[in-house]
Amino acid sequence: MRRPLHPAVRVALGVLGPLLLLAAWQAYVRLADVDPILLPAPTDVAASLVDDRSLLWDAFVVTGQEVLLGLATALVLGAGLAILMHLSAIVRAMLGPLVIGIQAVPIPVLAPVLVFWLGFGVGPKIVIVAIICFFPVVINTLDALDRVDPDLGRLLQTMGASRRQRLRWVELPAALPAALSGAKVAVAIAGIAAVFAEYAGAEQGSEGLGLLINSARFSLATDRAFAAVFILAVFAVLTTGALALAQRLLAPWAHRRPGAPR
Amino acid sequence: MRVQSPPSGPAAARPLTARGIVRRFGDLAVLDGVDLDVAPHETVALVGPSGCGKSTLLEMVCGLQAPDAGTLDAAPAALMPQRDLLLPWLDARDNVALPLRLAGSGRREARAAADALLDRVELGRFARSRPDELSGGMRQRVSFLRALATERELLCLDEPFGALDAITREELRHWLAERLEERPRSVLLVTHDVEEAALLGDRVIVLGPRPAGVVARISVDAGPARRREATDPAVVDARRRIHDALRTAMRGDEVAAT
Repeated sequence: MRRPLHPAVRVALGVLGPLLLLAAWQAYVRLADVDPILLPAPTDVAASLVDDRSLLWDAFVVTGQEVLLGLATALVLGAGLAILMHLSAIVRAMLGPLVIGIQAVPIPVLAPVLVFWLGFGVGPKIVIVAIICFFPVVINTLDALDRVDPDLGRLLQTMGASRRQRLRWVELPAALPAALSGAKVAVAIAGIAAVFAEYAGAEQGSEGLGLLINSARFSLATDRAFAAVFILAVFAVLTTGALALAQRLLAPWAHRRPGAPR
Repeated sequence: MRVQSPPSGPAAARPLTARGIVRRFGDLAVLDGVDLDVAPHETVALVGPSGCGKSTLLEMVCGLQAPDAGTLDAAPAALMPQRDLLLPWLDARDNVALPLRLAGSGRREARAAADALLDRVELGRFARSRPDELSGGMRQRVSFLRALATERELLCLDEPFGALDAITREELRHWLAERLEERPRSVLLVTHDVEEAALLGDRVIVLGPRPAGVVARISVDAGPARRREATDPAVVDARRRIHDALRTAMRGDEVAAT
């Protein structure tokens, strides 16, 4: 049986992997003499992170807010809708195809339409992120609810539990780890959703990493664009890590300790 | 021919009285006219071949299914299922306290009652352990304490030790017998283990193959279950009679009531 890696080793490898990639990238750009407008070297990107830090930070605060609030909204509303669909076959039949259909619409197409309906400003962008992140949360939570051991519910029935009690004591706790897993999946697309929402909802004075990437492209400051993308990537890793931690704290039973007695 | 001996003793105040129970699933007849009684503080073991409807009968007693015909008069029952079915997100204490919480008890009150039950059987130090941190035997004990916590007179045990190894099974049989002697209840025990039926039951009801009816009613006069051993002559005799009843039922012959 394979032994799990020590946490310190896991973290070290998690840092080593990207470092090796950066080293290879740096070597390629320098040795192949690649135009920095096309592909800046990691050192150029690092320089931009320092030189443009004020600009990048202000843009990150806006985008970060859109992502976190949008994700939180998606988690609450997505889990809520999944519960409703689980309890009502009629709601499930009516809304199921709609939920799947919305997910199939490409973000660059959906974002401008939503901006047209919801207007400009940070609020509508949060709504756009929430709508786009909704699907993985709904599907994961609904799937978990459907897979709850039916014998648990039947046992509670013998104890005289009402439908509401079975939901509170069995189905909701059973579905919690899956809902958080859905949110982890949504993190990856949340950043993309926020960027496209900013593209679509740009107006005078707007801020955000999406707009910064766009303006950096037009002014051929590719290193700044890459710096913004790097920040988005690091933010996604940190947010996923935070959700994983929340899973371990809120649903410890879903993470069996190796070597626990049977 | 199946034996349908009239039940003995007064019908009043019996936790369970079943007459002419019939149950079908579509075209499949599972139970065909089963009569069954459990007297106060009596343990009745139900044995029969696989698929004869033992668990179906138990589910009807617990209110999870209704018979297609016949009458079933059962006191509210506490179920100890074949799998422990402890809720993974609750520790041992909260699992034991669950029926009390469902009945409306406050958290503190229910936990205090659960702690008392766990302490009485020396499981108090595992009160804050989650099910995945307990052994199979400990989980079954916690599951049984959860059934006891309801204070319901009738206990339904569905092959409670089926998933355990032989040594743990024997240990838990003694443990269960001690608990029932401490606080007597009426018990309907479903088991495929003939020896278990003879070791724990005051009476053994033998069901035949589908569509099942009662083929034998066997009294086990072997003293208190807590002191029975597999080698006791009365237990050995009861085991033999149960085996004989099952064999002849599988052959479809007449069996006399004993």
